[in-house]
Amino acid sequence: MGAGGTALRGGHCGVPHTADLTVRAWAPTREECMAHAVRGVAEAFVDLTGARGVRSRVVELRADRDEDLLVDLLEEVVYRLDTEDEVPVDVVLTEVRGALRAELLMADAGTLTVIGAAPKAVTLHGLSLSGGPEGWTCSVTLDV
Amino acid sequence: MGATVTGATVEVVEEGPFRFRIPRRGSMRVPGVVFASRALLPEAAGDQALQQVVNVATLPGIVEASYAMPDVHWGYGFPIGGVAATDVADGGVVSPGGVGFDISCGVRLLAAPCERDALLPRLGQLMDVLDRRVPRGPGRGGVWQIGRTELEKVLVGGACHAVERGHGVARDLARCEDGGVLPGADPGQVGVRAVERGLGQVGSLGSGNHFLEVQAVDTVHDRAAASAMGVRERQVCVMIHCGSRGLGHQICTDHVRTMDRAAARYGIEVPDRQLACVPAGSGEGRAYLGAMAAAANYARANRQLLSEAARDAFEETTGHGLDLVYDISHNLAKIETHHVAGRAVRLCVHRKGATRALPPGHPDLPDDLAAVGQPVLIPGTMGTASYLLVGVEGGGAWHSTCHGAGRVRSRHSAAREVDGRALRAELEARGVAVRGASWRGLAEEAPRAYKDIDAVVRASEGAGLCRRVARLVPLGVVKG
Repeated sequence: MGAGGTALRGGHCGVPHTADLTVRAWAPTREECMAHAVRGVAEAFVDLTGARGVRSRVVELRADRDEDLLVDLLEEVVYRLDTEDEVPVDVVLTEVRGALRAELLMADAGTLTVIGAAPKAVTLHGLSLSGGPEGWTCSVTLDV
Repeated sequence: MGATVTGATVEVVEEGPFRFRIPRRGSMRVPGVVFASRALLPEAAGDQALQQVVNVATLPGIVEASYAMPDVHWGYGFPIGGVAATDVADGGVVSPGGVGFDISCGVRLLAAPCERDALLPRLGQLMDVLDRRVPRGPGRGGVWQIGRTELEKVLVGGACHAVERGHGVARDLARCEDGGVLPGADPGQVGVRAVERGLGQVGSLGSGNHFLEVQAVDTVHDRAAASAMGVRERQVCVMIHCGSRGLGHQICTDHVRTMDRAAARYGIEVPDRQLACVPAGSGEGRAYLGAMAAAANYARANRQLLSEAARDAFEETTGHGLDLVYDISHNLAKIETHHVAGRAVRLCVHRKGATRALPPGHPDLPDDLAAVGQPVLIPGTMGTASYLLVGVEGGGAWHSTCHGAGRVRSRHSAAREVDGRALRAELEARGVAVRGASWRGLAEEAPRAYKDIDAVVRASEGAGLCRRVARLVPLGVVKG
């Protein structure tokens, strides 16, 4: 999963939350951090081992706050899953004209093994995405 | 008798059996009231459920208390198992977070005219047919393929429309909360994405904690009430737990976003963005309530269609039909009239992971249940038990009670600690047939991830919120 065409650095993990699914991610750049969050969400409900992207979806995201860009990006993932049965296997994020352009490479969900409950919405509870000299981190909770 | 809850900074004071008070302080407009035994109080390190009860107590227009049911646990914004009522005429707010993403998520119980021993020889065959007929898991797939025109009729007509189209019988509607249709639906407030997500999912379970179970009545606690509801000992039943699928989630998402931006115009600040709210009588508030009612109707039609799938499976394998016992929601906001300080007041009552439990004699009850009260359906943990309860005179929290067992462990830790294959083998060894969508999905719903349902129901009854009618145990589980 790449960001801005570079190899993806950083990481992601799931964090216990009794309501549903919380994903944390970290990376040197905002775009890589968001890409890790997308991967963390996908890996929570399908096995991506050997997954093959078959089409790409491009969306331009605009928001006043970085954390809201993350919400918009993950909402796109949830929407595509429910309406097109697609799961992202890669995402390339690029800043363009004051917006964030996201190119999502999608696999057909039917070709992947389901390993957990699917995400259905992105919450604003405990939402964060921020950067500093040490890099970027984010935390987001999804309803599953 | 004050006691600080372990792992949290919220002080709770024991007021009596099964009742704790969180004293009003800071920006709280009302106190918190938690109906629970000491053992059921949230205490896991990091669990923010009680802090969320405090946060809800700050909402504009809230009256009496921010309530928590015995199954309360950490949600987002509102706690799951929370009840809050606001005074509509006094600027009281409506908050989509107080309803939850899965609008009108609820439970329906159907009863078969046969006993468990008669079913057991054909249980495996029945479960295989249900496995094929009940769509579940992520993405698209529902038993009723419809277009936009038909979907709009579902949003307005709910289970009534499904029955009109032949997916059920007229008696079903008499046994649905609100007669199967919540008035006030406004499809014009349902966004494009919500419609697109809803089109392919009418008649589907989804995933997470949703299920269809074949159950047997294990114990009857109140013979007269059970008889009026159409339930007896050893009887085979079907319980369906699901909601408004992607459509409801998208409506909540869209209206939280709108209110998150609009709240400042009304001078509203909330301690958690997921608590975004506006006055219930404002334009944004009315828009949400219209969209919420549309999603509630979608959920009711969804359960109606799944009932038809279950009926077809029963007919095919046993030759028996299924009669609806009741259908009730546990994620909803309703405009209700209650007495506050001696006067009748219109309240916007939010129940998030809480169930309305009307007392005997309430005018909203169907004639044949008026003498006993409103049936309340409590889905238990997979492999343990579920309950049929009834509303009681003087029930607290605006006539509300619990909605389930209540999580104590995250899906994350349950999946790490429990092997889905081993869990299925354990359940099968105990005579519970399991048809799951995924091994991890099964593990995430392991009984140890939840509170003890028997203890939750005892606490609800002890707190005067409801009365037990019957306990049901699973024979087979179709897991979303």
